[in-house]
Amino acid sequence: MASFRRQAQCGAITLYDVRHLLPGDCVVGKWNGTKLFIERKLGEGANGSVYLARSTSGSSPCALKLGTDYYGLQSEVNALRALSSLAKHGMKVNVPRLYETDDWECVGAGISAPYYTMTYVPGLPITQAITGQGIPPIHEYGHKLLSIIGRLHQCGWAFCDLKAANVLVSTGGEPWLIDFGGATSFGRAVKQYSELYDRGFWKAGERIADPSYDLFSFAVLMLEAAGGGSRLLELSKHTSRRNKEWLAAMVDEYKSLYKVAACLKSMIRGEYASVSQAVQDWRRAAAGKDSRQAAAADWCVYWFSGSAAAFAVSVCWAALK
Amino acid sequence: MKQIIMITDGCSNVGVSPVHAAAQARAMGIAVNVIGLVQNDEIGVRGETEIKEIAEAGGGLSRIVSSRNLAHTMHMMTRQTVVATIQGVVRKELRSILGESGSEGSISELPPEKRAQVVEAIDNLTETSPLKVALLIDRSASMKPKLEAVRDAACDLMLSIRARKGKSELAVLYFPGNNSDDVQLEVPWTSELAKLDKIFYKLNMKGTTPTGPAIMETIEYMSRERLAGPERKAEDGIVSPSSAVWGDYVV
Repeated sequence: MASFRRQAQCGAITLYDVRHLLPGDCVVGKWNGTKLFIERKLGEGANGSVYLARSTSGSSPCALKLGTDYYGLQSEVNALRALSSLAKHGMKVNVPRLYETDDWECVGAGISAPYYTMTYVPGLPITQAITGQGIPPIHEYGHKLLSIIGRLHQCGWAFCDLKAANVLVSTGGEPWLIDFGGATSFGRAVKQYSELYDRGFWKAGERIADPSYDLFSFAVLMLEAAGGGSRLLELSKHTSRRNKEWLAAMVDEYKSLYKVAACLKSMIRGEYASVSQAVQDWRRAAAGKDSRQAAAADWCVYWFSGSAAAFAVSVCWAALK
Repeated sequence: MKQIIMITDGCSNVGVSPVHAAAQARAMGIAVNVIGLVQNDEIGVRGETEIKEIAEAGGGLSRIVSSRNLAHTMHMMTRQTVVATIQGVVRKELRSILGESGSEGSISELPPEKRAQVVEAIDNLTETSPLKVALLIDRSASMKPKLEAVRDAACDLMLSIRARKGKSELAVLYFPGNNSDDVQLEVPWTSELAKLDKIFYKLNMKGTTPTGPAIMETIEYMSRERLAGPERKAEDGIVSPSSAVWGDYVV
């Protein structure tokens, strides 16, 4: 871990590390000479810490990720670069755009740490953002999030570390996907995951990056967003309950997920090969036109009209006697 | 690449020093990671120190964790060790490429734009290099209540490593062995999850903890089994370590 010596005004020297920068600290790019001033810490990822920063007071803010490890951070930069093609063709996708990569060298300390700057996404993790009255139904956020994941998959990458902390909902109500430290190209082993969202943990499949891996995590995220966080933790404690059928059964316990329940269960069971398949069902279900629900409804109508006809016949027969 | 992941909950109390044994493993290209497993009990300062020293001598990582976190810890440790091993190899190459005296072979000496390719190559090797992980499990009496968690974690580790493109195998051994052996091979090298189903079933717990001799025996087992040729599921365009520019790296 890179640590720095900072000489305070009174002359005392304190040791601190990249995870604990303070407002006002100045990060200077060794290769490009850019100066960035730290405003506050935004969060922590596996490969480093994220800060809100500005080049001068009053200028637009950016998010600055300061890494603890050159290789880990560069891996992340490589993933973000591969996704930069998403921004072409005028496609607006809610993922941070990479601005600049550089190293911060602390003058006099002889130590440096890598960093990169990207779009600052103001917002709350999805589980916090969608509580309270007057908010759109969960499946609307779900639909938007699915579109972002789908675009990522078009580049041949799985996100792999999908969890509440990595999905921010902006003040405008738009979900954004952040922290690409776990992004893995299709067919490779998932490098970084959180157990609750990992289908290997729930014995629902292999730990290989593919579209259905992300869809499984997405389904767990929806369960959590619907209020199932503590239930998930409870289930996870018992080895015997760590399986997809327990998860699928959980879906029925949440009213807010009723419309998309069948879709979520299919995601848990790994029945979708791609996000576009899932989105089709999701859209139809959310609009109340789910083919499976519709088929069930049709059956009810036939049964009812059939039994009504039988009743009418028996009344006529009785009357004719 | 070869790793030993040793899971123990106490100190060694018999035989050659485990720290020396771990150093021996490192010299033979085997990284030694150590996990101290606690569950409503403590490992104690002596145990903790020993665990750290063994891992340091073995060029690996050490952690003290509870049963609940064992699986995830093993995944991260295995991965970090693989990455560190590859980085070590790359460092040598980088030093000669950078050609400057005093160069540490660190990618920080390259400007950011030039790093992408190097790191991509490292990521590729991390994914495709053949890997063998030997799980060495302590079966002293205090480990009994934790064995179920160890079995689950072993299955979980199998899930992680078999997902890799490179040939990945797991072996399970426990110490002390049966009769007067220091170590017992429970599951020979495998990539199949099913082979781990019945491990530790009806296992008797034993009194001593011959950590050092157990590590020596495991080294012997790992050195005995040689990979027959460059067996790995090759990814198109990815060069295996045996024929790559980093050709001196012995798998």
